[in-house]
Amino acid sequence: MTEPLLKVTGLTVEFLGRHGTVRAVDDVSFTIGRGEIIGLVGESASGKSTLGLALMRMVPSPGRISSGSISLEGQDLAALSEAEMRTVRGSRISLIVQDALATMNPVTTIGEQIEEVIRDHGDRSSRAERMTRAATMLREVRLPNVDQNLRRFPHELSGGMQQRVAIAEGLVLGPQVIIADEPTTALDVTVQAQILSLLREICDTRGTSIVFVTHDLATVAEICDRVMVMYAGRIVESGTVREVFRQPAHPYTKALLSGLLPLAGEPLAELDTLSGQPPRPEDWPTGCRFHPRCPLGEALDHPEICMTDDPHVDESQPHWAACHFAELQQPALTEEVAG
Amino acid sequence: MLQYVIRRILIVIPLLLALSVLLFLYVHAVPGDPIAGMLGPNGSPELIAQIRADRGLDRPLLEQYADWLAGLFRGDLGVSLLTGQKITPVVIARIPATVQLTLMSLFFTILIGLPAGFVAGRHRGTWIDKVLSPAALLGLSMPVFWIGTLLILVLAVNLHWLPTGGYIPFTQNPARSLQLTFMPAFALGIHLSPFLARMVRATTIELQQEQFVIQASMKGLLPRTITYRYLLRNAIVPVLVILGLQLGTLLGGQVIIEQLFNWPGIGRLLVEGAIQRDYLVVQSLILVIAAVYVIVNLGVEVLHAWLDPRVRL
Repeated sequence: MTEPLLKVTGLTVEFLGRHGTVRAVDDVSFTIGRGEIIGLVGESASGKSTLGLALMRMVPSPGRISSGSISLEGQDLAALSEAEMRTVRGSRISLIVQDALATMNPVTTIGEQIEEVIRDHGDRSSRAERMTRAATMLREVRLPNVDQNLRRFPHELSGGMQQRVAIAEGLVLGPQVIIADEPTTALDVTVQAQILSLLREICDTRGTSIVFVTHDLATVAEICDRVMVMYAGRIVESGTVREVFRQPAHPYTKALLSGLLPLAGEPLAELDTLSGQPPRPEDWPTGCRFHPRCPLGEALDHPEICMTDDPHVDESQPHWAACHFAELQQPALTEEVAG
Repeated sequence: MLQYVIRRILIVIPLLLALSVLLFLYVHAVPGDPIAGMLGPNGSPELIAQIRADRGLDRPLLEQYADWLAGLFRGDLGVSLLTGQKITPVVIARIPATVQLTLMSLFFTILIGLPAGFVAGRHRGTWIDKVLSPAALLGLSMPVFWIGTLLILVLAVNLHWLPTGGYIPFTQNPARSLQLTFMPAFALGIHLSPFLARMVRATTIELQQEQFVIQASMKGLLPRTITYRYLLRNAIVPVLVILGLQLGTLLGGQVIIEQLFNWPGIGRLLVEGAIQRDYLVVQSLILVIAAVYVIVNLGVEVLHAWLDPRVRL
């Protein structure tokens, strides 16, 4: 395999709070190849959005990246100065978020927003040329009536159109990586499907890689190549969508998947429902962070190793899970999803 | 937009009519006869009655009101009770002084308040903010007559840089005119800018937490694009609302400052009218001031809609 496009090693994000330092993202490593869509799945507060922001070096204060490297085509983003990082943001790595409207300047037209991005990344052509470039990009994301919509303000567009504009803005400079944080969650189902297929198409035609942050496994099954499951600041399972969905090796993944499929008429086995809340970063459990809620641990009568030791992980494997008893995991009842 | 403006004007008309009734009744309910007051001890009852008849004050109230109202629609504010002169030309003569003072005051208000508030908000919690915010509080707590007196004391009495007061029309001698406007306008600017500064500071702080401003950094925009296009441009909107309110108030005449600096504007005319119990002047003038205030605010709303496309009129 050639050098991966993006290689994240030991990335740790710390927040300095009143109760000391908390690690929202703890020692996360992964790679993304060119044109690959990788799903980052987890509950709220699992650290998935923080990880997305960390890749942009935009962790909100008082958080900071305390260690690790983010290597984009061999260049370590974590080591860049803020001014250098600015030139990377929006041009080589961009972020698309859920609420597109909230990300746009309310007093600037669609065309101007995109034109500003092009200009601020050092394009010395005329304003009219930059506008044309913006229009071309908007056509590529299939925004209807581009000529009129260029002159409209963000709030005048529908939700789906706003998201297309946000995608166009993120794509206009041809970034290698897009971080898409729940980009379709706010949209209704038909528009969601359109936006997803648009993202997939962009990936295929432009060779752009996408880190797709979501809590929605159905979306992952639909467009992702690989999936990483995040829990309590760590990646607990990683593999191709097919492998992970057919044979989840981590009890947490399995629980997530069974939550996805409350099959008609088939009551959920008690084992598959997750009790309790995900832990907060200020009190991650010791040992395996999932052990207080783990149905497998319960079935095995709470083995001590789960409470004391971090599960060892061989991240070089194409499919791995951070569980002491991964091999005991039953095949999931989710064949249909991976289907 | 046009429809909205027309609708607003249609709302304003009954408002002003109601105000005119109130003003009229108020002025006529005030104890003391202005004619008797004007003539003093020399006023024989016959003379008083004659002048009252002359000014139409002996007619039924309703008739007097109708007369006044009819005049208003023709742009005729009535006749001074004391001098018998028409009021409209007197008011018009005072307008340039007040407008000039208003514009200069707003200029100083913006000059001081906008940058101070913006910088304080942008550098919230730093030493700049810690200097500017108490300074704004200090400005807020100083009464305008005291600021004015202080300016006169320092700039006119001690340093002899400026005369203590007075007014020359701009058309007569622009340089001299501006020089004379400086002190009253600057005093008002110091007085009004803290409101603006606090508003701008709060808005700027709020804006910096807005997702679209945070997102601006994610797009890799230049810091100056974020400062001007994202922050300042959006902060202008509430600024405009504040300035509109202040403009309306200022155009109504600055009673205290005009008095202090011997400035022949609307505010002083009002004071003169009140002191001389020339009630018709007071009555008409207040109505004019109210109308100006309402119209200015309407203008501000229209401008607001133009600056913030989310506002639909």
